[in-house]
Amino acid sequence: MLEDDDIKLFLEFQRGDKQCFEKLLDKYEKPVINFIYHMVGSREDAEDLAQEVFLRIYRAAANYKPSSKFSTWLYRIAANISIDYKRKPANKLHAVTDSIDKPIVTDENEITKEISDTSKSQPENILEQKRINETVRSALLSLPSNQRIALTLRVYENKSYQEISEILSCSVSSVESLLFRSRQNLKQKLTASF
Amino acid sequence: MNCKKAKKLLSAYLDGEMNEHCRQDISEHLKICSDCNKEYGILFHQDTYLKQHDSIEPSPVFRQNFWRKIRDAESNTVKNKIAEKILRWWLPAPVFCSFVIFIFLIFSVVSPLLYGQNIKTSEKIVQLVKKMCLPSNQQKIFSPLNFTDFCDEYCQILCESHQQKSGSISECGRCKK
Repeated sequence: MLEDDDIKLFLEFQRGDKQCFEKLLDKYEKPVINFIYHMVGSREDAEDLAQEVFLRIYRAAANYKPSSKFSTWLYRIAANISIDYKRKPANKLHAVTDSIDKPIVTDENEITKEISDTSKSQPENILEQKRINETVRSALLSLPSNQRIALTLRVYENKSYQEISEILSCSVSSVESLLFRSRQNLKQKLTASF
Repeated sequence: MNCKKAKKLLSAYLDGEMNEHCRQDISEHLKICSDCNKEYGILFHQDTYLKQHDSIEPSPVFRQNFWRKIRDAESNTVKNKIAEKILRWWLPAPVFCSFVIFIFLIFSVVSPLLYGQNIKTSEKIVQLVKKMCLPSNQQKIFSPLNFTDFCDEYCQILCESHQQKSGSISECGRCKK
């Protein structure tokens, strides 16, 4: 367990080295935000929830004793927070309203374009790309929570079945089944949309 | 390997999460079955598309907001510790003293009845307690000086009562009677 570099960093942070926590943030900030984004569908909520994840990690440092890989622990917290968020009645009917081109409001200025489109810049292609992205995101969000978590961890985070089973506290064969069903469901929804 | 079984295993095959023997069976089946091969192609492209798109960058203020929340949480923790100290150590002392005085008062009123004092003495004691405890009175028993006065007057009443009942040759050091 102590061979995990992330655990070593976190234990150093536990001893008082705050730079180690910054290093962990550098490594996991974007993956965790994206993981939660694929779970909840809203950028602002994804960032708020990601901050909550890191807050919990920060507070847990005092009593931390490694019992699994650091990333397993981190993603387990992120998954639980996402599921709790989706369980709240106000968030159950949350529609995919975020647009990829929606301006990001900062203290100083706005960033109006988030993802650069490397394909042809014709308006029709951009609109079509947006439509496809929103359809895919909508289909992903409509999957049951466990299927969505399993598929997100596999496809976006490249986690093994063993790691996913530890995060979801289930067997490897359950993970296999979840991924099979999530891909079939996604296929059906995307086939119906396109 | 039939198509039904093969299609169920395509997801694990795509993820590379099966033993070598099973993987070879699937590979052989995909070479000869166009239907399963097509299904595999759909899953492969579906995954590829998911990976390539719909990823976001953290906002520029994410890290800043996070550390601000940490600082706020830590300052709240300090405030909570001070409040806890006050509640745990400082507040109980006056509460305890008030409780002791309350018990003493109860005892003061009840004991003449318990120890067979005459009605006149009991009434005097009750009057004294009322005088010290009623909200309308200026003097309140919970101040140290008033509490001392209360004790003195109480002893005086008991002393007079005993003088009348039993009499005494020597002078009482407290009430000088």
